[in-house]
Amino acid sequence: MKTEKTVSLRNTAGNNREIITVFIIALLSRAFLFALSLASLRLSGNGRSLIETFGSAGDVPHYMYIAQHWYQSSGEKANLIVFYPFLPMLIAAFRVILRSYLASGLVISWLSFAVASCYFYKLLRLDYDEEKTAYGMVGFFTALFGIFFISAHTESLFVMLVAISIYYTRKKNWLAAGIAGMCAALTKTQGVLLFLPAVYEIIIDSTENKRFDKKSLFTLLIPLGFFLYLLLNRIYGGSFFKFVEYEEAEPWYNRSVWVADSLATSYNTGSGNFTLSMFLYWPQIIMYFIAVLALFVGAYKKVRTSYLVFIGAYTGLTYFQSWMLSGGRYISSCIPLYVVYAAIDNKYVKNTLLLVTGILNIFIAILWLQGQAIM
Amino acid sequence: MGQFIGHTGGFFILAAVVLLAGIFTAEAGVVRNRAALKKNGKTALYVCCIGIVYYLIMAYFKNTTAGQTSIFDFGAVFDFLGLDDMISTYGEPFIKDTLSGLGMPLFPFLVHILGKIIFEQYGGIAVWLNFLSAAAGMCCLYNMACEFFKKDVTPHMAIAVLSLPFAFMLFTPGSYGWTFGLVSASAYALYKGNTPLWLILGIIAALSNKLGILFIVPFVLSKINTFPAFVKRVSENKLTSNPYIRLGYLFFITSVDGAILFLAIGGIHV
Repeated sequence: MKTEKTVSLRNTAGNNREIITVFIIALLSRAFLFALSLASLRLSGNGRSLIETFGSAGDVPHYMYIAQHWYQSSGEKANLIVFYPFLPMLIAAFRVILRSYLASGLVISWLSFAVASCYFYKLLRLDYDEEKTAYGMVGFFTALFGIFFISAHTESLFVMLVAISIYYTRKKNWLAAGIAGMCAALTKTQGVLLFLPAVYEIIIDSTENKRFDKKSLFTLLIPLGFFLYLLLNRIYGGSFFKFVEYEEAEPWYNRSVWVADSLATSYNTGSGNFTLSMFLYWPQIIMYFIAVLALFVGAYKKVRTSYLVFIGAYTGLTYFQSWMLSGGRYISSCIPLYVVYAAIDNKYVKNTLLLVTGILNIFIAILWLQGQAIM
Repeated sequence: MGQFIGHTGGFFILAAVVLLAGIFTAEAGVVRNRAALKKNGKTALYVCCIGIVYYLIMAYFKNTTAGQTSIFDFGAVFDFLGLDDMISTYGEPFIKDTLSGLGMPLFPFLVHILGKIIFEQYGGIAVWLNFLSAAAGMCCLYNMACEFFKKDVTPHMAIAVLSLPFAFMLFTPGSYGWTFGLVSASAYALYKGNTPLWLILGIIAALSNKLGILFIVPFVLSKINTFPAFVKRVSENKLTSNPYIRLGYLFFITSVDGAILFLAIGGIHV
């Protein structure tokens, strides 16, 4: 007989059996995506080496170098200070057991995605029924640029830490939220933005309970994480914002601009090259507008406001770049977007979006395995 | 096309920020009366939409007559007002002369400070400050009218104000929208009996634009004991209550406003 307590536990963030099921399904979803993409690639006659693909794609060699040699104060590798330290640290730790940097990066990526899925499931179950949660999970599994949740990039680790931080923020476990947020701030620039939803929830909590919870000060760990990264810049580069100097120089030529200029540059640069416009520039322009539209949809659907604050700040910060190539990948890693997707009531809209993203997800994965300009 | 995509993207994310700020004021208990917040939100949205309409008209006709840029190049409206180029060429001193409208320093100083933080987007910042201030000012007038007439004044009040001649100036990078908002807010503060706030907002308005000195007018009117009764008598007069008279007035006033806007777009100094 179901007691009130049993029902309450079941409705609150899922039971252990459900979590284990989600964990396994998440791993299987990555395996399925990888296998289907690889099979399609091989059937098309492309025999490209997987080791070469995974080992040389994008920023992976840089993270492997940092994991092996750490940051350099001088020389041609000194500019690798632009990459955040948490992933290389984990790769170095896993390498002790796995004996391979690349294998460590891939294992971290797959495990992180699975754990991210579990915490995302728990997060969805806080506010939504089983059906909406299922939609949210499937939406997450069919995320565009989902191939980056398989490779040794920071995306999987980052979404895991974001999901954990936001989940524990909702549960008012400020220490756990702060630690996860600090690690996220040491993984990617956008990680420090987790401080915003935390502050929002603290204000709402203080207003409702008419008292300030001193334990909420643990959320200061999040900006501390970013400060630790700045400290690394000071130690290895000589100034707290050395990474800004390196980003503005070769080979990135990236500086902070207003989003309008960033979008205009994406369009204008893509105008001269059809292939790149299709692979890089138009996807990131479209993903920007999807993210901004999600803010209005989320507000209309009464999605938790702290999630919307994170989406808005994340989108803004991501597109403050003068020469952006990975906007689509970054937006795909904004996990609260899938909460907005789950909140939509219209099944026609939801299923159509699922169909489109499902097809494009495979398409992008194959292009990436081919070595095309998917960044 | 790139500029159009960029400006649209920038506009929508700022609109989202304003929306989230509004939601925050309700959830954090800053504004307790959610019904009033909704009504004021609708009024503010209405004002901003009217402002966008003015902007689209200015951009469309200026660009089609200039014939050099896409009709969707809204950024060229700044060009029409000569703002962005002047800022980038001459720097801060020129901001004081150009943005100040009638020569007061506070608004250009504020835009300059914000521009240092927000990627030197002086034109965009100035326009956004004017939009938001005009919307806030209209909300203050709306609330004041609802309380004075003791009934829900229709949104037609907003269009009646925004169709006045020169109303389009509220939505340009000059300091007019900003000043309008401050003067309206100061009038509302005085109406609610908060004289210190009336004075502070009024002084800020006067430092932003010489027309801001008009903040003294509500104070003078409040000293005329018969003024409130006079306003009520006028509003309840059969002539002014007549919908045909009201719509006729609206037609007349929007025509005059349109003519002045046309002259402004044509580059004749108004």
